[in-house]
Order: sequence, then C-alpha cells, then structure tokens
Amino acid sequence: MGMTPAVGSPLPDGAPVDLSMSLGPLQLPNPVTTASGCFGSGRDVDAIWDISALGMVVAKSVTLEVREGLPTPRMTETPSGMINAIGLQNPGVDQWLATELPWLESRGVPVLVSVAGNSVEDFAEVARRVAACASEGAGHGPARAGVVGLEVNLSCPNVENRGLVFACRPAPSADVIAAVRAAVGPDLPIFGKLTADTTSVPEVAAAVMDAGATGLTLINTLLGMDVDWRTGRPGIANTYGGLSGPAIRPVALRVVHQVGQALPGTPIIASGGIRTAEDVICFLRVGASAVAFGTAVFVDVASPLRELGRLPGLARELGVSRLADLVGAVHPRT
Amino acid sequence: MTLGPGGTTPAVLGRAGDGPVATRARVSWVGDVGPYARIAVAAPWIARRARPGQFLSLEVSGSDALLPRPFSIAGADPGSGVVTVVFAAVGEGTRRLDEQVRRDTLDLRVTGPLGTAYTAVDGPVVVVGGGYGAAPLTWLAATLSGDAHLVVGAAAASKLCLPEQAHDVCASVAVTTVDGSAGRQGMVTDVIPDLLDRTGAGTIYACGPMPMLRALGELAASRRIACQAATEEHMACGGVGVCMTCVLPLRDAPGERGWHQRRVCVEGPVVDERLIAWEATRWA
Repeated sequence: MGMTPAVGSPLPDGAPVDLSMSLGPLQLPNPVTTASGCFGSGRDVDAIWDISALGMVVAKSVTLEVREGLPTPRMTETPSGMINAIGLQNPGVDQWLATELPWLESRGVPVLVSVAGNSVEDFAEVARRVAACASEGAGHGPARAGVVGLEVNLSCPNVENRGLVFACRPAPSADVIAAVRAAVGPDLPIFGKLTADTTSVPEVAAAVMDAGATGLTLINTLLGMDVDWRTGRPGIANTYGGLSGPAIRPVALRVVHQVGQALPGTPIIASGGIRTAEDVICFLRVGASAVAFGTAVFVDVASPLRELGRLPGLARELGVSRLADLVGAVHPRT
Repeated sequence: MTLGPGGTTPAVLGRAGDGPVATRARVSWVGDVGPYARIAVAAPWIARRARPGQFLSLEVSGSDALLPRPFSIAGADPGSGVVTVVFAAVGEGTRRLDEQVRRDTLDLRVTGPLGTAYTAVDGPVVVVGGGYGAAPLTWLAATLSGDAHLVVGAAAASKLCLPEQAHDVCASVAVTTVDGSAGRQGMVTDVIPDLLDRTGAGTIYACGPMPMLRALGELAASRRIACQAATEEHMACGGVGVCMTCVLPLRDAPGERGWHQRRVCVEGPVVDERLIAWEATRWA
C-alpha cells in the first residue's frame, strides 16, 4: 500500500486489468457497490440492467418492525445534492428475508444486509435473524454470492426517535456493534456505517473496530435543512434530513483518509457523492476497498454500470494492471 | 439483456418486455400548448412501450441541479419513435429545460416508460385534466373505444392547456376556469355531474393537481363510479423505484393503520382513487 508511483507509464489498449478487491475477508470481483437506501434491494434497477455486474450490493436498511416511514415531502434538491428524510421505510426483517433476499441470492451478487434499530436489542435481534437466514445456505465466505455480511446503520439521522444517533458517540456505537457481534457469532463480517456529524470520526471508528466490527462504511448523509425564503416552510416534512450527493464528496474523502491514517489496514467501504469512475479511484487512493454509488443512482440509474465499465481504461491510463494497487496510494504534494 | 450497441456500456439499457429503458435521446421543442411547452423526445424503445398514464424522466443539464425530472407522457408514436411531453416551467430545473430546448436540440438522459398506465374501459367515459394535466388525456381518449368527454380546468385562461387534437378525439370538450376568463366559471367538479347524467359515463379518468383528484374522487364515490387518477409527488430517483421519496398512502392491503406507503413511481402514478388514504397525506 502506498508504494505505487503517482502516475506510471500507460498500459496498452486492451491490456487486462484486474478489478478485484479484498475487503477484509471478502473477495469482491470489483469495488463498485451501492449505498444503502439508494438501490432498494436491486429489483427495480435489475429491470433495467443486470445488477450481477456489481462488486456487491448493499441493500436498504431493515428493522425489526414494519416501518411506513415519514410524511411527504421527503426530499428536496439542494446545490449539487439533495436532502432526504424517509424514516427507514421497510417491510421489516422477516418479510425482507422471505422475499427480497432469495431474489438477491438468485441474482448471484454478494449482498451486504443493512440492519437498523431503535435500541441495542433491536439491532442484535435483526442481526440474529439475518445471520440465521444466511447460515441456512452454504455459509458465508469469500466470493460467495448471497449474504456476505452485515452493514450496521449506526448513523441514520432520520429515525423518529431523534437524538438517538448512535454513531455520534463512541460508546453507544460500540455497544451496538458488540451486541451485533455477539448475536451473529465470530465469523460473519460486520461493517459499521458511521456519520461525519461528530467531533472525531476516528474515535468512533476505533471504538467500533474494538467492539468487533470487521470494517467500516464511511460516510452516511450529513444532517441538513432547507427552507423556502418566501413561505418560511422547511423543504421537507421532517424539517431536517440527510444531505447527499457531490456536495458531500470532499467530506467523505477527508473522513476515509483520516480513518485510514488513524487505523491502518481497516477495510473501508466509501460512500458520499461518488458518481464517476474517477471518483472511485480517488476513494481507493485515500484508503477504501469498495466504493458505493448512492445519489448517483438517482441522478442516472445507469451510472454504476457505466462507471464500472470505465475503470479498466482509467487504470491503464495510470499504468496499473491491478486496481487494488491504488488502495492507499496518496502521495505527498511536492 | 442489453438493447443496443454503444461501446463499453450499451447505449440503451433495458430488458425484454414493456419495462423501462434508460438511454440518451434528442430532445426538441415542438410548440406550445397554451402557456406550456410541448417537447419531442426521440426514443424509439420508449415510444414502442409507452401507454397513456405512464411517465418518463429527463435529465435537466447545465447547473448544480442533479436530479432528473418526471414528466407524464402526452403521446407516443411507435412509427416515428417519438414521445411527446408537455410541461410547465415552474421550478429551476424546468425553467432551464424550457430555455435550452427553445434554443437548441438537446441530448439528454431519459428513462421510461415508468409507472402504471390507465386501464381501458368500454363505453362512455369522462376525462378530466387540471392545468397541463390535460396533455396526456387526449392521447388516452384516442386509445379508448367509447366516447370520451373531456373537461379541462385551469385557474384562468392564461393557464389553460387545451391540446389541438382534443376536438378530434373527444366526443365533447368543456372548459372551466376559476376566474371565468375562459369557458364556464368554476371548478371541473361543477360541470361533471351534468355530464355524467347526459352521457351515462361509468368511469372518470383524471390527471392534475392532487386537490382536484381528491374532489373528483369524492364525486365519483357519491355517484358510485370508478375514478382512475394519475397522482404526483416529488421524486429523487426519476421514478425508477429506488429512493422511496414519492410515496402515497394506499389502502391496498390489510395493515395496522389501514394503509401502506406506496411508491407513486411504481405502484402509481395511475391508481384507483378509492384506495388513496387522503387523511394521511398533506392534502388532508
């Protein structure tokens, strides 16, 4: 890591490029994945293009109970971004496992199941049910399609129980991760999804890793607000919502780099304003091993597929035959 | 399955059948319908698949606004491969689209056809458009076997959308304006009871603002006839179904509250009006 020259000699057109990535114990065919809540369970996008091209799918968060979510309007557009408050609308973990997971498994794509809850016990119970369902198959493992791990949504600012944003502080975050780890056993990979809306992300990250996380997803949306200058009404029914899109990309880049520096070798899924293959490479360089398209899917449903297709060309331009060689390749300005 | 060539990633993405297709298309200004712009989207795959009531989403380019805008399809010609859309330049994105498309032919990302279509019924029907909601309804009327009686409503004559072909494809055309500056003064619901009596229509097809749809639903319920309503809501993902922003509570399955939040872009936009739990919406 970090030994690759800034720019090598370009490789010839058509030279093979290995896009595979190691994300901790997971071997992914490529680094392109989806941000939770921006892809559903993949069915709607698969009606347009084959989602098995992706390195991994991160599904929309599931909770113990059915959630109908928040009132509308749930979304407003902002400069180079958008603010949303959905309220984790989902059919509940049991329904999701019965209908969505079998479909995802049939698509032959690695799946990270995103779990959310109102309490430590909620998180643990949802995780237990997902793990039980996952282990009914051949058991998780490297390069296996189907459930390859859990993403623990520590940082969603939209839950109705406001103030309970676990990811804002190290101890509550660690409590959730420890409970989830205890619920699923030692083997199933767990990624804690953190927020940048906190004083020190590396402190939260360290607590989460110490509590038994396999890796981290960085970052969730940033809490924001819009208001109509004429009517004085907030842009969305919930007043506050998560800001996403290219507007937050610099924050995400900073956080991935900062956590990568503080906790070297931590498997990181990057998320935040990514919309091009160039963005993917930037996030690999600052230390991510998987890179999630979120709001970009809203902007252009084809973007993950198209940008994945552009990665080999960019790698050849950089003289890199293994994309993984770019992970951590940030160089001092001279 | 990919539908066409185009380098590393195919230029046309979609599956066999009648589902949505994502592609790029030439978009050009065709003319105006009252104060609204009619534009043509050259997208053969969408033109072949689209049915009245469905919508498409178009990129609006050239600023820091990112999200595609949904537009109801006002017509589709499989022969020429052209889909038309009528829209009002009301927000930042649509104003820019309006300015650009009047100057140049644009090359924009488009996804469609999306959502549910109107279900055709036999016999006479009443077709109701509020504002530019009237645009897709003449296309609908042309596809129906029975007489379609069109009612077009607007706040004022200056906001009226009366497509040219309305008189050709509809058995009758009535206009209402709130201020009386065109047609009869009042709301569309003021003229519909008489129309139902005269025509014996058993279905109302509607496209327009949510309060109008609600009023039409009440009218349809009182007359014990069906109302198929094309609904609307803010969408982040352009109507593909992944963002969960455009929900509407529908009483379409048992549940604790009697309704479930459904996506206007997938389970709608056309819904049986009787299913809408208006009391759980901001139009309550």
